Amino acid sequence: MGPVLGVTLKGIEAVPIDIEVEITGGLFVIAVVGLPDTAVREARERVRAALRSNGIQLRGRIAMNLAPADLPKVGSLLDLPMAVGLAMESGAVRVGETALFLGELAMDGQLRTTKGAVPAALLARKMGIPLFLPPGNAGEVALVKGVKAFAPPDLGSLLAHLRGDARIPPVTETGFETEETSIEPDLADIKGQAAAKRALEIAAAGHHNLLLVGSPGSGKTLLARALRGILPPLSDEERLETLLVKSTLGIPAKPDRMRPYRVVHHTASAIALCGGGATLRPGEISLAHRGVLFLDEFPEFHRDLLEALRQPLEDGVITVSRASGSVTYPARVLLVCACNPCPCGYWGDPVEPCRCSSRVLEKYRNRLSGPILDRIDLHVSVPRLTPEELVCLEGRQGPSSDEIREKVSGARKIQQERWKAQGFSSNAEIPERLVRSGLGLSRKVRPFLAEAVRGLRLSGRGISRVLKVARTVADLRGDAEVSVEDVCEALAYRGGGIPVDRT
Amino acid sequence: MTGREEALLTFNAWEGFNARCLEEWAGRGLLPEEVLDAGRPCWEELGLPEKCRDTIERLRERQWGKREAERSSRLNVRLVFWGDDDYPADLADLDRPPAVLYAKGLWPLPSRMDGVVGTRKCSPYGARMAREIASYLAQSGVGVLSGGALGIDGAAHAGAIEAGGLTVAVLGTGVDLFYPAEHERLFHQIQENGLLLSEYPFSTPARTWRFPNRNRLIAALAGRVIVVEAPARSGAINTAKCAMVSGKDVWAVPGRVGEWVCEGSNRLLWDGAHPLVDLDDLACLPLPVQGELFPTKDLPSSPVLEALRAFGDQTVDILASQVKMGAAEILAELSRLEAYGLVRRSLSGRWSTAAGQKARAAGESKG
Repeated sequence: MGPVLGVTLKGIEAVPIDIEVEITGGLFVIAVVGLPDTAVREARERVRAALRSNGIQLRGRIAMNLAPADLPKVGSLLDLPMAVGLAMESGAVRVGETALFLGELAMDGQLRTTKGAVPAALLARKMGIPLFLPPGNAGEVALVKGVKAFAPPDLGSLLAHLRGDARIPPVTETGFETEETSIEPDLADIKGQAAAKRALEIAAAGHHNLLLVGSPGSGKTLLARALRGILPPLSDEERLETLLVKSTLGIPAKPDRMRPYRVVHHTASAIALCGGGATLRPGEISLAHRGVLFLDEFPEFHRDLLEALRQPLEDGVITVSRASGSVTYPARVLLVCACNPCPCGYWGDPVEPCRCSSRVLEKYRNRLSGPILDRIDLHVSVPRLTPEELVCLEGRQGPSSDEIREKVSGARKIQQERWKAQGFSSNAEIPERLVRSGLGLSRKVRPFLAEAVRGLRLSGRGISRVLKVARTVADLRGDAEVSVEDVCEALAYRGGGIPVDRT
Repeated sequence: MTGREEALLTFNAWEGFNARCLEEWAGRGLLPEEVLDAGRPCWEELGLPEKCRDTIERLRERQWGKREAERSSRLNVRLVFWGDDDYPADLADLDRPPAVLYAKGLWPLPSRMDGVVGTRKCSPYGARMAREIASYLAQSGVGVLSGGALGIDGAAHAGAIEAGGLTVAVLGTGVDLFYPAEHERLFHQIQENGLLLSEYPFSTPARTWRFPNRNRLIAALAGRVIVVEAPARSGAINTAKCAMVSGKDVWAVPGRVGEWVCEGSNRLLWDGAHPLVDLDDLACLPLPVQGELFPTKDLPSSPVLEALRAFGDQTVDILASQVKMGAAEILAELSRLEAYGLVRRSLSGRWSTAAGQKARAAGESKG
């Protein structure tokens, strides 16, 4: 392996690319071999210009091999290693220690921000070699602990560094951490909807997926957005996981610990949602990893699309398999779905009449049932308040997002302690056998449930959902035992709001 | 299968036929099988129209009666003929009693049935009331009779089935068809928990004139008719009028003034129908005592329930402002009350008290 290494991305993983250069006499030409894509092939023009602006004139017949030869190389992130390889071969610099180079070159030698910096940093750390990268990527790489990274502003200063003329200071972790920014909207600013807010709190605390049902204008989207503000901040490890996915796509990292919030429109393709394509890029579900994935107008989503969501919701990862290979992306999301109660949106509204025929309603209801709905623990109706009701609520204010986030963080800690031995981190994840034995139900709960099951027509799966939610309610109170009141509250988030009882 | 029965089945395929024709023929000393065998001259003499004569002749050649009987045994449909011992006595007084009844499900008919009818395009409130009324009747041991249509009819059948009672649907099509198609499952449930009934031959398709026709059967079979929601011109009003003419009790659920969906049912109130003010009003007849899932004496006292009783449908927000409790507590309380059957989820995030005996008792015990 030569001293100059580049990387190409295979999914979320960076693969080292050995840059080999040979210069012989003859007419000037640069040939690049080793399955370069168009961006890589065009790199020779950028590289030549950048080297020339740094006083290195290339001559002769130049052959470049990107090894391993059978792996397709993608993107402009190989510009910098190619330039360094050429500079070394033409005798302008010597690269003593093997190093990883990454970056796109401007014609004048400036380094442009590129994707793949975080995977490359992880690779450099694993191989124990230094990493050179554009200054625009320094922030995200600073969060990868234990990597020796340098961020030269341009090719010239990199070459000077390599020659030993002028040292570049290594990238340090300072400067890429801001104070928590407050998130809009704050729960305290949302009028009414106390039940839905409480459901958000429980969803955030126990990582329970959530369905909001309500007429247009009732505030479903606003509530979903507010959920992000009550989730505890990302831990270091979690932040790195989210950065890894973002970096793979070249999305700039933000210097905060906010959880991702991704909205998917129902016209999105399965590839956009789950990942894939020729380059096996990650989808929205991976971008929402450790955060919130919001599906608005849930029944409009294509059934195949929802079917594709099922496995990642269960496993927390998604494996994208295509002819060009198979990649596993992280995909642990808090799913929030929103839908209207009926196609026209006004079923059950106190003011507007519903204009849906029963056939249309039946169809809508059928679309709403299905595998994904079974994985949503909390169902909440979001009523559209009448003007009188709004007046009635004037001047009342609930707790702020900050207060609730405190409670949520507390409840999460309790859960992590409890399930550590089993390898789970939240109540929503726990499997059936633990629901039966490990929830710490009070003695009164079973007899109560036995009666409630008859009165409320609960299925077996429905019961375990209720119990998991009840466990979270108890955790929010900080109680080790699940009381009948907790189960009662959990029962309130079980269905309703969808026109199911109209025959 | 006797010759008489085959003859009745054949004549029944002509829609103008009814049991009164049989009586007329008997007056001339003719049995139906004799009429069938006698052929066209005799039919002409009996005044059967030309089109009918053609139909009967064609069906006779194809041995319609026998084939219809075979189909009935294959499809597990009971045929009940005019003059049979189990022919419903209530139908005998009709102007045009059916000569044949096709019955699919649990024969005989429940000894006591009330009709619950209304519009196909009902409001959610109407559907809920139909369901509750039907459950109430079913729990009191009364069969629920309706027309198997969308809207109120379907809700009534479903309510009776849910409460574990018997329900009968009188159809305007053959009993082997599922009309409307959305009700295929419901029809299966009805025949397991009651009966699908029709005077029409197998595979008779849905036509507009057949539905008013079957309404007369509902009116005749029902002990009383409860109209839940009906526009001014509708089948349900037609049923109610039939029932009034034959001197049966007609009830109507009061609806809001000015809404077209209950214009007809409200008009019935003006015409003298009983207004349904409380489900328990239906219990004017002696009811068998039912075992209670949750005994009434242990009913919890609850400010939430009182607020709901005082102000009707409420969102959690409004309740919170009225009873000074947190959303979590209120939700827990509502669920508990729901488990006791005192409170129900109303529409789009609202909650209301459940109608009926228990809820009222709970209210009074505190009042």
